[in-house]
Amino acid sequence: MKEWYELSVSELHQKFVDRDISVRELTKAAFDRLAETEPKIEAFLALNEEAAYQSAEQIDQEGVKDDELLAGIPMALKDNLLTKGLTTTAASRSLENFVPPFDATVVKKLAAAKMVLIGKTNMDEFAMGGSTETSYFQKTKNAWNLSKVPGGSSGGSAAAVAAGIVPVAFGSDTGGSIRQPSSFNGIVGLKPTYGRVSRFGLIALGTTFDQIGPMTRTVQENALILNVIAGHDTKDSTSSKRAVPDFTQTIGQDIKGVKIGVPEEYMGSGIQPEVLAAVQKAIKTFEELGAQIQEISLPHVKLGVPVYYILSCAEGMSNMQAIDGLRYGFDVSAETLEETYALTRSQGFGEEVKRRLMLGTYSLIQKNREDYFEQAMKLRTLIIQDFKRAFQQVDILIGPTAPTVAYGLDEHIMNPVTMYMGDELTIPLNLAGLPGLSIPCGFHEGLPIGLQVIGNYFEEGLMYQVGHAFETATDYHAKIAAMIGGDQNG
Amino acid sequence: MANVYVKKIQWFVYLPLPTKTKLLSSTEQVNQSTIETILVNQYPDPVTWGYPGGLATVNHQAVKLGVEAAKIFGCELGEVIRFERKNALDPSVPGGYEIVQEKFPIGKNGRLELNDQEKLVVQSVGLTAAKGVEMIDEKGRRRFNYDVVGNPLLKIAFSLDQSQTIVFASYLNQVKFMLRQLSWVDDALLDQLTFELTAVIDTKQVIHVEITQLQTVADLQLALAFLQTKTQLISEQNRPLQVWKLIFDSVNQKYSLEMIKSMPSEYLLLFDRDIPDIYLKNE
Repeated sequence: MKEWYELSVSELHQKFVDRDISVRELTKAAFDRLAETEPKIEAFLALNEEAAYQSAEQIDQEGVKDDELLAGIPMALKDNLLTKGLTTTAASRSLENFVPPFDATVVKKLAAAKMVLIGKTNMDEFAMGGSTETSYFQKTKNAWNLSKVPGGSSGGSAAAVAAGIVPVAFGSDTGGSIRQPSSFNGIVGLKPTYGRVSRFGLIALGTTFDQIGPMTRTVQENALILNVIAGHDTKDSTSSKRAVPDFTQTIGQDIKGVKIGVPEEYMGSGIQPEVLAAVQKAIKTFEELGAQIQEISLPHVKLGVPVYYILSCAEGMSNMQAIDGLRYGFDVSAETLEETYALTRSQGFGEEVKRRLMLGTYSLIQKNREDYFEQAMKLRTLIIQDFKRAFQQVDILIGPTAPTVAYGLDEHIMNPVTMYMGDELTIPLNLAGLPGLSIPCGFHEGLPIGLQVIGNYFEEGLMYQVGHAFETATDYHAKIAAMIGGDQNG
Repeated sequence: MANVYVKKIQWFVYLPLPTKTKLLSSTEQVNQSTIETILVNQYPDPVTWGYPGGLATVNHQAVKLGVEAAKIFGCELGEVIRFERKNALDPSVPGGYEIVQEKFPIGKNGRLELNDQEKLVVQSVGLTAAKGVEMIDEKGRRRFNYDVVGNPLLKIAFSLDQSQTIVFASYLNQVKFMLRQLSWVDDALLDQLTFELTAVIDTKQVIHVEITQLQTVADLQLALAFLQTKTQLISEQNRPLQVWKLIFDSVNQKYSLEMIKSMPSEYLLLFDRDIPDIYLKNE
């Protein structure tokens, strides 16, 4: 018999409807699982226990209806999503005790769907990092191997799903922060098209890059969640007014004749051989499923990393100007205002945040602006054009999500450039605003490998169709992390 | 050889816009700024108070009023308008940046004429958001009223030649006359006009000198004289940005200028991408 955490969201829903299990029982199971695993993986920064039981009991009283597909399902939120009355720190000392006065739009939508919030998950400080090691509070571990990082910046959310604490968690993706940890943890993570999901209530890093997305164990679950969180929001002018389809409708349809492009730049040097082999095997699977495979070139994506760091750091610098300790958050009182600013921000922010704020400031200073910021804007346009040309030829692009499997704790933290290069395959999508889906496609030494499915703008439905077809033909998504009793060798 | 300084002086006129909500949030405008309300800051607005997670959304009524004002001054309307963040840590701007329209304002190249000889170029007409109001409490401490932060302001920028001597009283009367033609402008609103003078000195690097919180014609006249005579000295001190404030000592009935900020670098400008481009033909 399956453990509860092996059941899909749909199976759990049916059990609620049939009253085989109560929402309260499942909520308790989630907290029991958390108590068991948390000392090892340290995925959570705040728990929502009392409120979770209250909402569970409320849902039980009302009963879960057939069409309430997510009612009672436990979930976790990355700690940069604002939750009214529950601390939201972005894993930074500067917001250590910050209790938001309002909910993010996504949080409101999830509450309306009656999902049960278990807690807030660890992350890289202000989402600046790729390993969850820049968190001020703790280092989260990979559920497949506790000596490895969970990836980042949404590493806590990914680890919480992989460890079986919650079937659904939420992350934000500015340069790969949903997809890379999903790859490292053997789960499914979606960065939607820029504008698909409201950013209101997300602590901003890069205004033109950030998107909130679901992290789940299967593609079908991921689509169910996107149905709930997608759509225009009057509080976010960049959210799209485009109609939101039912993303589960394409799931189960075959992919015969779907044109899949494989960018040569995604399959070249710098990619771990075992990762390349797993992706090659995935390509064969798609061929067997009837897809048409075609090699594609995206000549400018190799410039994505420097372009991204100039632009996102400039936007991040501006977005973080308000965090000065004067109205909320950590503050150091000093004799003068200038000293107060300097001490508050130098002690409130970690090294990586300060590094990026300085980089952002440097690239916007008038004498540097043309050489850095303006050049980066031009290159961003070239990268966008690369993708537009590619999508005139094919329907979907695929490649690895990350160049390697999860690496060791503390292995790269002292070498920021190595860390930045770990996002070279995910960053181009953020620069272009395109959607990307990471799905499990293999293992190396017991560590998951992720396949990145890249869609054209607002084509999440087709991405889910392709991802689900792959899941149906393989069983990588069904493997369970070693720390919860899975086969460590995958 | 001495540096050649090209000095340009700008006169900014700010008019509060009578819209229901703030410029970049759906929170209603608050106009109280007394010492009683300042201690409370009772109308929190997550967007304009710089709370994490808040996103700017444009008040389109403010844009509409701005377009009407730009037309009054004969400006060429921009096809697209954008807002920029002028980033600088300052307690009067809780978001950490002022909202300005420097590159893509609502209108450009207008005019203000007294007669054939006396005229000023209206460099731009755009929108900006009110800063927090600084006050000194009973213990002599600096306090800020943030309730007014983000209220929409019309910003009219006039360009003066570096040595141009003008009589502000005449021009100000003309500005008021022009604005009075707008159906939504009344005398009470015109009483709330505020001003700023800026000198931009272009040598090897751009140097700004701003004089803020000017309230009366006498303030303006004094500040202009200061800029025309003193900016050479300021530039030689190699200070790229200085902000001065005009102080009126009501006991002795005397004015003085006090430098309130000096920065080693210029403002960092960045388009506010929370706000998509606004195409005026669609407004």
